Amino acid sequence: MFRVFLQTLLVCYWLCAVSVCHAEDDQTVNREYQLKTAYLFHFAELAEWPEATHVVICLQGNHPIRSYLPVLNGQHINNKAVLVKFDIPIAIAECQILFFSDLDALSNTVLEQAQKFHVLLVSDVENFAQTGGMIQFTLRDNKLKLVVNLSAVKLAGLKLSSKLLRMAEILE
Amino acid sequence: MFSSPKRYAAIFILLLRTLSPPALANEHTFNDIESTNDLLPLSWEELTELDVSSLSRQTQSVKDSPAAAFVITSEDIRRSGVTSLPELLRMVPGMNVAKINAWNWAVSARGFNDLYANKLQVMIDGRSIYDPLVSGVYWGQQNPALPDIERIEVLRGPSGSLWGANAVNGTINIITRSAKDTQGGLLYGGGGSEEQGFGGIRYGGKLSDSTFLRGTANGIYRDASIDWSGNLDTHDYGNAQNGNFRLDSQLSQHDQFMLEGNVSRYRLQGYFIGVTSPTPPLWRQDDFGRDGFTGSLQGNWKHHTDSGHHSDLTLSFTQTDWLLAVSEMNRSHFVVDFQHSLPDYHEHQLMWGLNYQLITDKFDNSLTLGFEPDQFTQHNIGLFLQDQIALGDDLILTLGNRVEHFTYTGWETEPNARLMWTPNKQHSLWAAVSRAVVLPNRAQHSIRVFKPLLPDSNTFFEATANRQMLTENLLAFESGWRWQVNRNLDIDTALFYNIYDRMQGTKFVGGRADPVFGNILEATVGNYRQVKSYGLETSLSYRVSQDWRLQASYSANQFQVNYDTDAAWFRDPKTEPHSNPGHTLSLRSLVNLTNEIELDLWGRYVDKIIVDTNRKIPAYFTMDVRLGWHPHKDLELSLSGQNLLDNHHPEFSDILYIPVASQIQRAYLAQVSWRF
Repeated sequence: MFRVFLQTLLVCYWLCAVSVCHAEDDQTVNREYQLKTAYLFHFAELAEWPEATHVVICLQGNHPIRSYLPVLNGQHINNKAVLVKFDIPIAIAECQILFFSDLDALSNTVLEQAQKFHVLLVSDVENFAQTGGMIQFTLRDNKLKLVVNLSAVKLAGLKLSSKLLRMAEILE
Repeated sequence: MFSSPKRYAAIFILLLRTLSPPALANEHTFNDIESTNDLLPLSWEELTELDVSSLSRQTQSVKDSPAAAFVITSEDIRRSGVTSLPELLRMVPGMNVAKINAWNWAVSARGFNDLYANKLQVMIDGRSIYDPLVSGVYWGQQNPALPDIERIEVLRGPSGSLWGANAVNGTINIITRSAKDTQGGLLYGGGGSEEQGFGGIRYGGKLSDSTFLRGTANGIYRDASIDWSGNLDTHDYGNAQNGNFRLDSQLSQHDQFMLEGNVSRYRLQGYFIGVTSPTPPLWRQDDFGRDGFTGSLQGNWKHHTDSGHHSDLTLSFTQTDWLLAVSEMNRSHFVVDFQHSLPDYHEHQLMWGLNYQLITDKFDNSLTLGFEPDQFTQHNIGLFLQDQIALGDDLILTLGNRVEHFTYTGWETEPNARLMWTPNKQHSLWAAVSRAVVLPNRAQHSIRVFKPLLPDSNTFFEATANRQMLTENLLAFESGWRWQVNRNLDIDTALFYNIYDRMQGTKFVGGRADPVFGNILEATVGNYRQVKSYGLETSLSYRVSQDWRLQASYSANQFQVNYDTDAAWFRDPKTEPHSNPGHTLSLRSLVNLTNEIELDLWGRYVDKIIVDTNRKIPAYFTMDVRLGWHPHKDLELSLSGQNLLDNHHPEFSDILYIPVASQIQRAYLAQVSWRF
């Protein structure tokens, strides 16, 4: 009897609540830049520089990732220390990874310097890999994917782990 | 039923909102930095599986629900090196997994392990795969392509108000990858000393910008096991083949559609043996072997409105046919499931659902095995309702109930109350009181088994059904504590105290002399016993570095049984407290030696058990080792050694299987997987 009472009570309770329910938007969680930051952290491990003992990540331009990158400063991955530098002008010879905000900044001079100083060029702007950049983030089916320009990577004397290439789209 | 994460997620949506407001890309907050920090310990593989954005209610995993939960990820599956579903469950605390022979398993949560374990609800994408004939899962008949599985969510303890009858000691949700996530081709296969050969091919394509389709075909061939003497094989050879497709479509911004179909056929040896005949010889040995076919089709439609209403409609149809030497079954199973969650109203989050199932079957009876009536139809209907109430910023109360009507037992109710307290990001504590029921199954209500007591005995026994069989009832008290010690270490502990009433038992009720068969003992099933159990489960996950992860699971439990000591029991209830291992331990180490080479170790300890008075299974400790190599970005090779620490050991014995009881042998396995 008590059970039936309890059930009736629950049903009534629910009906009351439904009849006066009001709307509220669902909230969307977006962690695009958090993910990109974590990817950059792993690039420090998955890329191989000819003679780097630590990995300096530099940023060109004003990009929302600027707020997230400082988390990486001083972290270690696979015994490599990661440092983040926002110096202007950018001392490209001191960077191991250079993240671009604008495609226009990817000039021939920059490409030559990147080859000379073995700098991994990364961005999330469209056509970055086709234009001579090395790793480009794209968004596909709500997941981060990488487009890799393998010849540009090789020209800079860098090697990318097959672990990274496993999930990348490769431009030969 | 399809969207299991949603159900769990809904349980905690309020909590999520109070704890971690969604990140806005253009204004960074302390919380953003925190969440970036949380991503750093993840391995590269884990990181690349993450979605960029999602509705907050869908991002909440089962791990955040106020229940004892464990998730097996696709990475766990790949690196386990195993080839069947039950083997994967060995890594889950609180699960009892024992191999009987090549195709038969005893799998349960929190005890009562048996070939016909009846307290576990198991679903693939929301479609139940437990067999209404015995309320258990015939694991040998479930051989999905493991690379298609995205994750397996395991909930221990009752969740009857969400998942209905039989979700009593646990619920397992096997969630396959969406067609969108499986574009392109995959070819995999392998072979070894026990798994003689297995393999599969998958291809996924894009039908339009919002519609994706994939198809998978896979097969498996298994060698026989070895008998208790360690000399003879037990003829449990077999093979199974599957075909599967899945279509996923984003119909509009508010509508999602999924259609999945599966066909499988199998030929499995090593079953319950013998055929009884009214003319001499009265009984002859016959390896039953089971030839079967299963086909299923399920559709799911999800709709949400801007105002926060979420509806979810699932229709599924399963056809199951099998043939034994002594019986044949054809069964159709049709399910409609609808659920609706409402926008938050003040502190309340409401959700309700309706479920209807129709099961109709037909048997071809023999003297050895029969079901009466030989044709039967069940209509079962259920209504559930749940409210989550935010009592404070860090305290959530969930009240739920399900009322169901069953053809066999009439009205049943499965209420539960759960409370979760999250004082800070490091700790969350929960407690729950629930009632759940195990529905009497088709076998208990209609079976007739007639066979010699033992293979060469001249006393026969006849086990008959009990039309008065009622539900087994559980009242469960649980509590748990999740402790995120730091970003590399978390510990999850659960305690339970279960009181079961009207538990099934089979006892001898009399005997008669027959002119042909001589003495016949009569046994029948009934709600004869009361059992209390209590236990502890704990799991620990430690990321030593991005390249090294340790995972440990431990469980312990105790049982007390109340029964009529004067009765003659078919299965001795006295052994019940010992038929489940007192202690179980699983320890895994997953190491990336280099970016291309993985070394994975898995050690398991299982305490001794006594299945029947004269069947003692000693405790065992065994180990699997897997070496994986990625010579090319699309190619994976691996070598595994399984059960390496002894030549063979028994894990279980079922009274009906004594003549074919098997031991589990050391095995070697080579696998290859190529994406194209």
